Amino acid sequence: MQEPLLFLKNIHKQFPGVKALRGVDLTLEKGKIVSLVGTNGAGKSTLSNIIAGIYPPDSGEIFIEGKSVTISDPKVAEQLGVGIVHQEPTLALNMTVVENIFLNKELTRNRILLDLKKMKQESEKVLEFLGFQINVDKKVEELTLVEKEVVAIAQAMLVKPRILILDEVTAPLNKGEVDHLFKIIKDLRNNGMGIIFIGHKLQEIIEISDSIMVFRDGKNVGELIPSEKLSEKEVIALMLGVTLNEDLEAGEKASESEQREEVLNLINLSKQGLYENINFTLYKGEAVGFAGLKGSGITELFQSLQGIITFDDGEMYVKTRRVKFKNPKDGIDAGIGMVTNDRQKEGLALTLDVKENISVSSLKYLLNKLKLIDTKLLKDKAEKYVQALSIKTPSINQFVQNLSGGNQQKIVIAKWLLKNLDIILVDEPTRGVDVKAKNEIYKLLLNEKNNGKSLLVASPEIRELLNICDRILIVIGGRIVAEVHRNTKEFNEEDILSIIHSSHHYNTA
Amino acid sequence: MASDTASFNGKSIISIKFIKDNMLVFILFLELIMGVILSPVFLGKSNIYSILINLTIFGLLAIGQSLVMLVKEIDLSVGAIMAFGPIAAIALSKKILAVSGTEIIVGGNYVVDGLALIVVLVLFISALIGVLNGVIRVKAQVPSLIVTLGMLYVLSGLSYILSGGYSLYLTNLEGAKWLGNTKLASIPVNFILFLTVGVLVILVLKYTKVGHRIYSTGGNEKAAIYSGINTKFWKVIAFGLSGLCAGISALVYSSRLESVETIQGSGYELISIAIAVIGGITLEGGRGKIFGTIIASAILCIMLNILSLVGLIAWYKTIIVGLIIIGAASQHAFSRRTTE
Repeated sequence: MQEPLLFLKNIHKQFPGVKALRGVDLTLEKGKIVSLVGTNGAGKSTLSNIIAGIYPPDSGEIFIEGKSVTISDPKVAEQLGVGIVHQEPTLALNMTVVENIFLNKELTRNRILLDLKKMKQESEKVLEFLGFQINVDKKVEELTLVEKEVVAIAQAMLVKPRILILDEVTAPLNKGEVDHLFKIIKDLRNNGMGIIFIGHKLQEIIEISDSIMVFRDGKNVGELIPSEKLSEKEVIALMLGVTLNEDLEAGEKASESEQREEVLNLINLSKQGLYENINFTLYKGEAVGFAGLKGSGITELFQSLQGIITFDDGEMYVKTRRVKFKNPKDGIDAGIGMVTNDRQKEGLALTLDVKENISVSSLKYLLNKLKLIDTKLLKDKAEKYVQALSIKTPSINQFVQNLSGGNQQKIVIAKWLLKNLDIILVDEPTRGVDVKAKNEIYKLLLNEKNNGKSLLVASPEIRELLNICDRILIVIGGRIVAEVHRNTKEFNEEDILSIIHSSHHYNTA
Repeated sequence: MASDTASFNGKSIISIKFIKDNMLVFILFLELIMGVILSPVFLGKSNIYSILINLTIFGLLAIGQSLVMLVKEIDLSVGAIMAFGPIAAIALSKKILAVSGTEIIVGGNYVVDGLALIVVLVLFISALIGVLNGVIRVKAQVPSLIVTLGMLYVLSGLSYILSGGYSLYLTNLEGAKWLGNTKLASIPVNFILFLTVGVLVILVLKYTKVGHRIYSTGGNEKAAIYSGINTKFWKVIAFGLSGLCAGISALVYSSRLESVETIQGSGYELISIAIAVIGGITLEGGRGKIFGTIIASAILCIMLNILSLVGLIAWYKTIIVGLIIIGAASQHAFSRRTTE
């Protein structure tokens, strides 16, 4: 029998405080696509980084075509025929596309001088093969998200790898682009490449894989073979090690708000080039969702409501008081907080610990008689929220950067809960968060709503909005074009998506 | 009609971009015109030579500093290296040559022999200090601001101890004044040296892998590491080159004045950073070009020269230099924001 292309045996890896991998086995045959799925922190990226030579395993063996190998650094991985596209595109933004594609793989003439012309041609060839036309002399920072992802893929494809690892490459891509990419991936597979595919979107995984390896807590707990019968729920159940069904229905029980007390009222709110004539009223204890495509202006609208940016025209009332925030502090003082979609950049101080992050914007409620910070009270509060939100952390003194994405997101939410704000803006609450943490975050938000808080939620995942919100506003090209209430028959994913996509041309015009 | 407007807009964008890209050259040009108008002696031979020698000394330091800043570090020790390099080199040469019975220092502080060895040692010691800065930076994981600040103090102290605080004179050392005072086809050799170093660095950065290593190390260290680049190595290299540049600058300086002084180069580290910043190199790393640094060296030296010629008191000069630094950095930041 032919030796498998890649065979991993009993791989262990420990990081400070975390056992990332605890005895993982993996077999990848030529011409197959193996998907790795699991909740955040299950060990998928750690495993792919080990194969790519980013760091060595603590123990275990790696075989490529039957030969035992030591992949000591990325260069060695490359020579062994391993290409990888990392989860966070690792591109040097200050450099051009061609410089990035050829980073540390530069072509030279007579070994010293760079062969700029050849590198340019080769880059264009790889990009063309991927079906994209990008000016290779452009700096990467000038590219769109999608183009950046494509450049990262081109980088990995350049060395014509035998083994290709794709770690969450589809995240920034839209459906058409994903389809296109999948066609390429399948072509590569049919030409004998072995592909490891990592992702969160289970539909995609089921569509593309020849087999699905499920990870849980640093171990592979099962292998599923995709078929028409395999459902997302089965995969999720194996990922979580539970059978779940009740959580996804939580939203249905959300009570209709009885007293219609206005907390936020917008009249003709506009900002040049971003959104225009936004009119709506938010009531106490209500959750309103915003659905729309990327770039539809929802994020900017939210930022205006908190005072991160200012609006140009129109009127904004918080509890009948007319306001125009100049900075986020104004917004917070008026009782509005925002859970941002970029928690690492905007929501958290990664180098501070859990308790400091939770308390950072509520310090004035945590003072003792001498007006100094009451550390005991601060600790109690932090402990309380860590418990209440079931944030997985060894202690409240852990640095936030060591926590998984889902737990980081919960800390951002805890930060605002501690402030006891009336209105919470949530922009993509579960981006990059695994299914289990997702459900917990939904519950958290619903709980807040039931306690009389008002929520504005934006998310590209319609199902998420359906779970949490009482009504959903559909925004296209910066304008609210439709409103769908719970208990109406349009309150479902297909109808809302069809509204968004049928009016797609507004967005591009 | 619509297409007319479009093409008009297209044109105006190009010309704005052209001005933006060549802003430093325009400023330099304006300065030259200003100099001619404000002072009759500006274009005089001796004035031009005085500009060029300063340009060489500061420019060399600034090129080294730029390399360090491109890998997202900073080097505060270059000024101190300018004194320590020659002083240590002479002290070491004295010891080495004494073995073969040659006494290179006579009359207390006149250096009379051993030029070749001294020159080699100046370059070697200066580069070594740079490498040491880099190694401490990457091994001990201490920010370079701190490492090189410490190095600045250590070197200044050592310079005093080795020299006893006295100047060393090179007036009786044959060949010592060549680099600082000779002209080739009426161009000072040290200026030719400066341009050679500058052009060499530009070409190496543009046409060899070295440039990609340095720009990726400073631009996104993680991306570089994930591509298998040894970013620590390249940081050490940048510091080493900065030290080497400081050594060359020290040779020019001492040759020019035919002396080595304990305080020479003191404060120059800040000038070198100022020039790099004016030239468009940023503290965030990975951005800016050595060509900008070279033009900025000229801008600063000519500005200082014009201010002296018109008789401005030193303190006004420092104010103007300060304003130029802030103005240039703001302009670079602005043009970067608007192109993104």
